[in-house]
Amino acid sequence: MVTDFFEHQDVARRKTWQLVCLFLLGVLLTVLLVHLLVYGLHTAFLVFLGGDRLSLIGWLTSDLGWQLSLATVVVIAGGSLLAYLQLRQGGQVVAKWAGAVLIDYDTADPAQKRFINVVEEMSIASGTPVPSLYVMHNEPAINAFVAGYQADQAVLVISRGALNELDRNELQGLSAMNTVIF
Amino acid sequence: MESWLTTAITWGVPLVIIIFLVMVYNRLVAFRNRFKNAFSQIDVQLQRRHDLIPNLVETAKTYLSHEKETLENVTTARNQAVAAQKAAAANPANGSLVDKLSQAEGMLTGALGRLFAVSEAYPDLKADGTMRDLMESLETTENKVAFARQAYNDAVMNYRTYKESFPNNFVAGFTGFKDASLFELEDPEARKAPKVSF
Repeated sequence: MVTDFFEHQDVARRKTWQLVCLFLLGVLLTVLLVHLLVYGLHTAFLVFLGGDRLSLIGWLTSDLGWQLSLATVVVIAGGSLLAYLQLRQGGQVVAKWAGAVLIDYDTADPAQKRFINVVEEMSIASGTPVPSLYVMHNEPAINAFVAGYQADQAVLVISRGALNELDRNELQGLSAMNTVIF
Repeated sequence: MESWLTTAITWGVPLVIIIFLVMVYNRLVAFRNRFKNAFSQIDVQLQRRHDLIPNLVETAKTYLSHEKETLENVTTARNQAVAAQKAAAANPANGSLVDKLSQAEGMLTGALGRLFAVSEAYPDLKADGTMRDLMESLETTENKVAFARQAYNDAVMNYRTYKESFPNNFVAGFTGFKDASLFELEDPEARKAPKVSF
């Protein structure tokens, strides 16, 4: 069944909501677990040294307790930011590493123009955004691949050999396969 | 004790019915807007197709000086398609306008097909650089129309299914939601059985 673009969006929105809720739940649980661990150690320490024991609530609401919560949230936020920055680079890094060059949309080269057209057709057919297109000019073999973590920063790299050797139908098949893989 | 129950029912039941009617109406509006949007995707591609054709005819004229009629047919078909497209774009929820557009585009496809068949006998035309660029642009535009059509037809199908289901059909009938047409692009010539002569 061909799902249309709007169904894609609805599904994506629902999933985003679910993920956000689960993530917040995860953060809460992590903070609680860290507290339990530290509280456990703290209490064990006090029992060993002999002194006033705090209740769990007392611990949570003490100055040290707030500082610990804050520190945990800051660490989680920092880690998330790092991961986000890494993912943003994703596809483009792989393309550059393969020695590929970004395709100029105003190119006069008929082979590249045909390739751009074919990829746009596949995007309309699948209801997904057009990926960034790269060409490996020094690669005479027929080769292509996709990279990237998310649909809106997808990268499609194709070799010069594929652009020159394949006819339109074959090029369409290649693009379709890569669109599906992504 | 009895009175609050009766009050709850007298107010509650109509309220629930009204809420249900509103929800169905809103969903119908959402489905209709989706297929209208899908239609505008086709419209963009159709417009590009229509814009390419005068260029094509001009380029072909220099080589096909003896095939005036074929070229004229293409131009006529193209002008009719432009008119149909403008009418349908103004109101894509009107099924009959979309039907007319399907027909006009089918005629254009037929006329173009005959032009390409004729130009097989003129290798100079095929080798011309401008001609090749135009053919590629035309091909990609027609492929995009085909794919955009699939999305549009799916959207129309979802709309129709929802609109014709019970009890949504009552709401739709009351509030004036019209039937939408699928976009079927076919060459009227292709329907005729091919003549085989030995």
